[in-house]
Amino acid sequence: MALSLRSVRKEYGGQVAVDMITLDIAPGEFMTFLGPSGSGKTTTLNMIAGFVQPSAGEIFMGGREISRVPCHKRGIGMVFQNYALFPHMTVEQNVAYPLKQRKVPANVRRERVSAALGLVQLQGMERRRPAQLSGGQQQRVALARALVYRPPVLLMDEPLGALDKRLRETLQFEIKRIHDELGITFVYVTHDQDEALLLSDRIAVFKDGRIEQVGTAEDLYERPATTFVAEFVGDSNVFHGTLAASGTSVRLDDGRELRVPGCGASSAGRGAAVVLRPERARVLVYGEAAQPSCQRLSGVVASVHYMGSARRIEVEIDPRRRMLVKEPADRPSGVHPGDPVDVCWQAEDCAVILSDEGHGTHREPATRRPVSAT
Amino acid sequence: MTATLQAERRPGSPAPRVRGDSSAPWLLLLLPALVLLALCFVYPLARLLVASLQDPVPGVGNYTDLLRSQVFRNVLGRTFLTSAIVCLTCFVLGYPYAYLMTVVSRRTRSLLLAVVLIPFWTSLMVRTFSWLVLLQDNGVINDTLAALGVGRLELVRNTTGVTIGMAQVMLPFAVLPMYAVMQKIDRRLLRAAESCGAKPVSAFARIYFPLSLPGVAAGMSITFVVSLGFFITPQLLGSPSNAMLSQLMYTEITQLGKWGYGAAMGFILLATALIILGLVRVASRARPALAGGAK
Repeated sequence: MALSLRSVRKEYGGQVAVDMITLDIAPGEFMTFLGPSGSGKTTTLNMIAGFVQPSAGEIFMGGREISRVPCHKRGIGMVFQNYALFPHMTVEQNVAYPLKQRKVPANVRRERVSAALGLVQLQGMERRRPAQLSGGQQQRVALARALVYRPPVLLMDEPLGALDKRLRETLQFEIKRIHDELGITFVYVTHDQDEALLLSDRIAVFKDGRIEQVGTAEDLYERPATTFVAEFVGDSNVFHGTLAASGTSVRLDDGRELRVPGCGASSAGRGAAVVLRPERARVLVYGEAAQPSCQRLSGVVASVHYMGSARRIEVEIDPRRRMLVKEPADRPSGVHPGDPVDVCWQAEDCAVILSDEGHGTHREPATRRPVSAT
Repeated sequence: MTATLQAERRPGSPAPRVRGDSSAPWLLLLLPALVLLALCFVYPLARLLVASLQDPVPGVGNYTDLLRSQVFRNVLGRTFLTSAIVCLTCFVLGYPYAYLMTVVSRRTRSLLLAVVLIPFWTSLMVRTFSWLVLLQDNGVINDTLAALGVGRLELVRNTTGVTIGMAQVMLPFAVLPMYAVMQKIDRRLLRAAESCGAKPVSAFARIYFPLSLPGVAAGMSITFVVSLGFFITPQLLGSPSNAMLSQLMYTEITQLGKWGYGAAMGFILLATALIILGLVRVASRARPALAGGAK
């Protein structure tokens, strides 16, 4: 394993910031910590970097326990959200700085600096100072500085957070390309779920200092382990209820029954949340025929928004429940606010999240055990 | 477009200045200050310059006499040396203090600031006489040293006494500009340096210290220049045998009535101080990052 966290915990004066995190990251993996602010993802990253001492637990890098090793001896590369370039040094001096600390001879240093600047496509900027560069260029310099001594692990703390959308997208592909080219382990912190889905091999979703779920983008999207993951990663329609005796349907609070992919009758009676992604549902004009296998709910269109690639349609099923449907925007929608419609979907397109106890505790994540992903 | 421009701007850098800000009507706000400056500073200074060239006889006689005088050259040298020692003392005491102010909690910071400023608000005479009481041969400090078996030291009526008294007066002028620059230095740069493999001490020396230099230059310039003109402190804590230039000028003008001679001394001091300040400015220009590097 490139990195292993074992029951890592961090408290600040009684306040738990990170609570018993256990996680393994494979060599060469692109691992993203995704979560809202205050979820403990940055604290966890800072513990790996050595800026923050864990209150308990162990961190292994390449099999060596490093939680008491000072930051400057860990040999980990780090990229910060605010770039953290040294303003009094030129681009070249910034990138050469880690090599100087390692007493690399000047001629080798020059070669490596130029290779690193080549990697981030910044040749010709050597003599500039950070203040003379744009945000995107500065973050490229920061990347070059973090990579120049070929660390086995690169940590990135919301590196694109300060950039505008277009630039962010360009740099996302750059980062992905650099990861593929170098094959080193990346640990990336972001609160942007699109960024996480695009870049990562695996994503760890953080909430309240714990990991809710670790998995590939597809795992998180198609098989969310908790309602939090379902709602944080992409849009979703979530229905809370109880798994019926058959194990193939969920009875909602209002008495409606939704067919779901089979969960086994043994789980019957447990609280269950049904997750339906908006693009898996369709809006049919009221009374329009559909396949008999469809699950249908009737309602009234509340709003229609054209988003370019898709059309977001909100349908009010009852005064307390609205459903979100995304349809491709290439064909006219034919529905308008106020129209009576049916929302329909295939039962097997739903995901079911079972909670430990019976119905009523559905706000809790399905599992509170630390998630280990090996 | 606006969004792009803003995002491209380096975080922490000053907002782009709007053109036309310094147009003529605004300059009127400077008028009262300019009038005051002209009446109370420029006019007397001009009168002194005239006096130095006219009194007692027209010509540059006062200046040539002064530059030839061994006493004057000694006193001028001593004045610069004492100011330099005060400057250095203020740096040694003030730099760590200013740094401490940037790392402690807000409450402690207010306390530290008050500790620096309270003497600043106290009358110079009161403070200087207090030092005299503390430092004299049978004062608290010497009694303590004697009781400890160290023996009594000559702490007053010499350059030691003058330096102690002046350094205390000048410390706020050194601490505040250094603190002002230091609190703008992004401490995350130190983390970045450590993540690059730098030992904490090396990160401080290579990253933090160079970025704090504009504050050091500002604090030291003020300390040095103001120290050059000290009169009360050396008068009370020093002795005639190690007088500073202001004391010599005082004697020449009030006791000997040699206005022109005293004025010429003042101008030589002013010219030398301006040259030193100019050199500091040129030196910090040569390293542009020192002027605008800290964010």
